[in-house]
Amino acid sequence: MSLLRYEVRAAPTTPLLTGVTLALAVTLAPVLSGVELEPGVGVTLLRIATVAVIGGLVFIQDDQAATGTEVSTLSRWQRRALRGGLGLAVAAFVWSSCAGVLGWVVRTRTGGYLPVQDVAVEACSLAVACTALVIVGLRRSEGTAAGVVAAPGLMVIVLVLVALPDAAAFYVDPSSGAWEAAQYRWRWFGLVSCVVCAMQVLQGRRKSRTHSGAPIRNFT
Amino acid sequence: MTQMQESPVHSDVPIQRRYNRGRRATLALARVESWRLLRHPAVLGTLAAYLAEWVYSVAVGGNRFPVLQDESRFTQMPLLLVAAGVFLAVHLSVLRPARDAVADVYEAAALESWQRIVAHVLSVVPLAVIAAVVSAVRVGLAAAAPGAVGNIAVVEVLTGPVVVLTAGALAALAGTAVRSTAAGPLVLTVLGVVTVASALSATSAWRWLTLVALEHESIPPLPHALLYRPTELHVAYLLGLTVSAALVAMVLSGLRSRRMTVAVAVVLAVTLGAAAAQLRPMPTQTAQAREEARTAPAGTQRCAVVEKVTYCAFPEFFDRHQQWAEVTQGILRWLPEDRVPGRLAVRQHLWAIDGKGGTVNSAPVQEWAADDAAAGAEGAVMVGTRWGNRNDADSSATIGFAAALAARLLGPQDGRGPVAQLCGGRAIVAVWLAAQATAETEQALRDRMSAVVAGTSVSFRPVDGVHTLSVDRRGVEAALTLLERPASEVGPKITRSWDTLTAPGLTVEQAAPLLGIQVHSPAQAEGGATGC
Repeated sequence: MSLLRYEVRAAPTTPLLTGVTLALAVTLAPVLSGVELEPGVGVTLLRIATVAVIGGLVFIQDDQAATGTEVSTLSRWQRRALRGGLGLAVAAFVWSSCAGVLGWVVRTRTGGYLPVQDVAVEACSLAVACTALVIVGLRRSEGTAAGVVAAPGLMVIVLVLVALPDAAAFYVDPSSGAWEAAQYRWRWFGLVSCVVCAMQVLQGRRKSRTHSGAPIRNFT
Repeated sequence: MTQMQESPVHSDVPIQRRYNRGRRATLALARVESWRLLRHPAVLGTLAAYLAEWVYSVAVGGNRFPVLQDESRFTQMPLLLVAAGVFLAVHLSVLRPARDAVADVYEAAALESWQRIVAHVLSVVPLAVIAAVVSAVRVGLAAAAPGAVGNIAVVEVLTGPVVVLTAGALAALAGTAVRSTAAGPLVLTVLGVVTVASALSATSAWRWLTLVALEHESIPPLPHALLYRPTELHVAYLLGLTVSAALVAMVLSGLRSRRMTVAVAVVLAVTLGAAAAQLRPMPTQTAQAREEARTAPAGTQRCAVVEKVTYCAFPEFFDRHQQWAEVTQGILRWLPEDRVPGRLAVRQHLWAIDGKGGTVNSAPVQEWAADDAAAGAEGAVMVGTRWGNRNDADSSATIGFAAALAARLLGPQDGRGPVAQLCGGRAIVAVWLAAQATAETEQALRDRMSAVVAGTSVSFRPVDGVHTLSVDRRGVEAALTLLERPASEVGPKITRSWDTLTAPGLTVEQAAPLLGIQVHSPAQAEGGATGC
């Protein structure tokens, strides 16, 4: 519990809070303006909220003091898992709230249906891809600045996916006939991201063993 | 023991020489930064995506019938991708001293902080030039297409590169104002939200305050004189925004002086002035020209006679008559000689041009008939400003014109008000004639049918927002079956049995054996009933 308190204090939460605020603002704008929200527009808003939340979340692992806290009774991965889990819980809660609100607005104002489950698959795939980028960033910056790689990486991935032509589109309108095909692509994208993520973890472990030799077992 | 004393350092170098040296160093740094920028993964990634999208669009056929003023505008949106990459890269570059924890070391460098900001902003110029070259090549290739009409809008083409420059200046400002790497992506997300919002309200005036002012996709291509796009003011606004962002970033970096304050105030005033001027409503002259083009276009159009058929179009779309003539000749070749009309006219029309959707309305059709009669082209077949198969709307207009022309050649139609209705054998013949005329019309019919998922009849709209022809779906499906066979096989059959096939009472079931095809019974057909 004390470690949790310490990590919450040490983690850079401002980007996550800014991302969350942006996501909530995008979600609440149609609620407050009273506009009729078509499912297509609702999905677009939920996608923007996804990018904002993940964009803030990728900075949660940044640790300016990482190079000075190499030796510790707790492994760095334990601390990172704690931070990541905490950030992920906040992000998941905010994303679910956004999805719930937008789904409700779409349903009540236009009688339409927001495909939340499918957009959740998109969000998870994007989150896994960003996790891979965070791991790369952590390794490149020796644990100090994962967000420098992951946040621009997230933006470039999203922009490239937006720019893809219809035949290979990821971001399509739910009323489009290409929706199913796009969902199939998202699942593949998520799967490939998982593999890349696992490879990055293995590569990171191998490198850390090579650099640090045998782990310190006894401090006395 | 030596005693050290602090004393101010006086340089013997004259101020002008120091300034010149600073300027040279700034330009040298700008060169280095621009080279780094060109190799930055964010720029390379977005540039590669931009080029890949372009290559793909060319590989799949591209737009064979471009309208150049629209193509000029279409260069802007893809460049937003590159602008976003530039934003991310410049932002990270500006924050490099802070990220690498060497900000203190930079204090000893020859350049002041504000000079480094100037170098970062200038480093974007080569990329903006590359963007301008790529946009020019893109529009140039469109202009070289044999089916191109209209005129290149140079200011529209320049807008994209200026947006790239603006993105760089905004990134420099973001990096100076908030010394956090998180600020860049989050500001970019906000810019993305604003762009999406402007795209969703593509008829609003405030969209001109964003980087790129899109047009509603339902608006058909328009002659340049009918467009209301204050592009010169928009470029002035973007340049003002660029200079304002750069100046404010320089002030935040420490360049504070009365001269700077005045410069910031003047540039901000010019930017706000240009921003406000963009929001002015459409001039009365343009509104009147639009109304005239919609209701009585004959007075402003140019006409040409090809193979005894008169084609009239808005001057910028005049060359389009070549494609219309191909379709007309493709249809007329299968008509019995005694059925080819002595006089036939085709006139270009516009209707739904305000982006707020058109309606099935008898008013324009009656007004147009009167306008045609006054111009000596009574009963002219209508055609819109769209052409080709680039999207569903273009395909709909292309097959819409061909079907309207084929229906006219069959003789007088049954109708519901201004909408003619084709059933039975007449439906099969008209749709087959229309679709087989050219490769574009055949593809257009297939595109139209993939867009019509249900219903017992298929509507054809040669002009956006004007519904003129309704055809029994079973007749269209029979025509699609006929299209699987060579035209040289089907055409002579139709010519030989013309009178029988075009007789008003002939059903699809009766027409099918004459054409050698099988059709589903009405119960099996989609919808379970006919549209007649």
